[in-house]
Amino acid sequence: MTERTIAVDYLARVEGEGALKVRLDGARVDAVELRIFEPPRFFEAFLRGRSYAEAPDVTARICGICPVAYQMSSCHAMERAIGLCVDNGVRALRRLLYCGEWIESHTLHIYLLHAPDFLGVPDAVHLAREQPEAVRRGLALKQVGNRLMTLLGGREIHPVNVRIGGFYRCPSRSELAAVRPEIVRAIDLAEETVRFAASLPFPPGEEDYEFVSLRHPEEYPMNEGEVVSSAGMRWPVDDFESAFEEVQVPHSNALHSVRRGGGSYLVGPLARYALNRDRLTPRARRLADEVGLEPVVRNPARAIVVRAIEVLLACEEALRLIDAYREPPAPFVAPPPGWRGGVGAAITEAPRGMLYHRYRVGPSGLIEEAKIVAPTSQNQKRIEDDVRHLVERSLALDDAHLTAACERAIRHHDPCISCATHFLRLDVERR
Amino acid sequence: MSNDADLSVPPAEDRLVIGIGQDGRGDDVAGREAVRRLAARHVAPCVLSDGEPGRLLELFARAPRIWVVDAVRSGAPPGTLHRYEGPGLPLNRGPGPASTHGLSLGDAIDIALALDRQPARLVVHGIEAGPVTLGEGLSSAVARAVPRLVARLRDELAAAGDALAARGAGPRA
Repeated sequence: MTERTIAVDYLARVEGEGALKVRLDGARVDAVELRIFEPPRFFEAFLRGRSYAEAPDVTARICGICPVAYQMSSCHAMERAIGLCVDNGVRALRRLLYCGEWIESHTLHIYLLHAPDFLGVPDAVHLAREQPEAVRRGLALKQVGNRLMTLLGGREIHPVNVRIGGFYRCPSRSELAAVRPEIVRAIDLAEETVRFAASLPFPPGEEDYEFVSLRHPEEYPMNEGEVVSSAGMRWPVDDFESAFEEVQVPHSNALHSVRRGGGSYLVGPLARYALNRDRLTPRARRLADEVGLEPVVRNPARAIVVRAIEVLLACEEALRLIDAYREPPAPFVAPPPGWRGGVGAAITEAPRGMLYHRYRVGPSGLIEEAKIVAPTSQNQKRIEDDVRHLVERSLALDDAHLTAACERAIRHHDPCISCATHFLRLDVERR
Repeated sequence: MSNDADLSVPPAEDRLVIGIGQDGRGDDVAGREAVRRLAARHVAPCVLSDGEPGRLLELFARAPRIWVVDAVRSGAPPGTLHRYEGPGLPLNRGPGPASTHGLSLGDAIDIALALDRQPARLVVHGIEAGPVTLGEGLSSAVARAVPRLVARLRDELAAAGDALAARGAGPRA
């Protein structure tokens, strides 16, 4: 029996820092461990004792790629704790801001991080040399996402204009109208991106995922909805912690999220698409049909096409929201005088999948407890399962090729390892 | 993790100073901190960045002459100042141990070259980082070196010919 160990010390083209260890005993896969060794993030602990109003700005700093997701989940959770209802104009602006983040994050992953895997080039630099027009298109599209984030968030990274109850300042109709021509152009670029992504050569390999995402009665989900699963389950957001649990594993700083009584599950574009295809815009649905994207995609490599469809959807939604925008009577609603704290939870759809926040706020308005479950910690167990299956069917590969294949399997899911790590409480037992 | 003020950049400047780094990650913020202080002296238009390469490429397009200021790791003692200009910048490609991104400054520069978007002049100032621990500020060695870097940048930008170009630099209103 020969023992083989495949170790990837740094995962290239993955946000944050992570590593993977696979242990083989002959033809048997003994262990697959996706390791997170970034310094644990202290954000949940850091939030305790701070004002409820600081949650959006503090949590936005957890991730430079998806700050809006953190702001949105924290605002919705706090507003549920307070019992605040926001104006429809504020609701529209939040969805528009989220469109900006989806466009930016997905386009970064499609062109600079994921596409090189299918084109036989080592990275985005080589892709830019060999297909400069594709990378230019990606950068132009990404810039439109940045533009929306800057306009609504106040700046493109770590936006500062978002607050509980709305925005510090809402844009006028004419400010939004000024970006309309860019959005119109972005819709065409997004359509070209779908065709580009669909034309890539994909390796075979389907996985039997349990998909989990939000579902909204009318919209493709971003800010609101109930939690649904491809196993036919549905839960209100408040039941998230009774339906799913986080377990600590020895090999990682991050917590693994699993369904109670079940196993791993997948959140993110593949899940959203499988559970909400009927909520796509007609143009996005037509294009999905045209490029042969089946209603449920189980080959994780093809997530790049689903991301491209979501970019098109986000561009079209941005145009619709801009055209329908009515400036709200006030940029935000404040908590009622005499609010004495409470508990609130919310889930929104970050580009990489569901992001859960729950806060308990004390009578003086200070946060007593914060819980954040990021998409990557929900997907981590499922990514390990993908890698295990890949290794089982690729044993003939030499170590170098097997290692590269494992890295690609992880990148299909665009894991954001910076978001996934948590501060763990340490219990020391002394005898 | 404080909410620092963004620095405004009017479009179509003839030069731009970009400070890269993240707050609350130890010495990773050194370049950002130096540029924040430089902006207060109104020497040149300044902007802060998290270093994400797509955004860096957009910033490169804003001016023909670009100064980038970033924390680096070369094995020298923390606080050592570095300066690179011209072809063959000795910058890492791909992610390093302190990277929070899948691509580096070196990758962004190479992509700019491949797309024929490189600035006419690109100068990189590095400051050797010590620990990049989450939740921490600058180490004492790097904190002591930051004023030297700011002075060096100020002198270099002044020597570059337009010391009084105070247009637009300063905290956003």
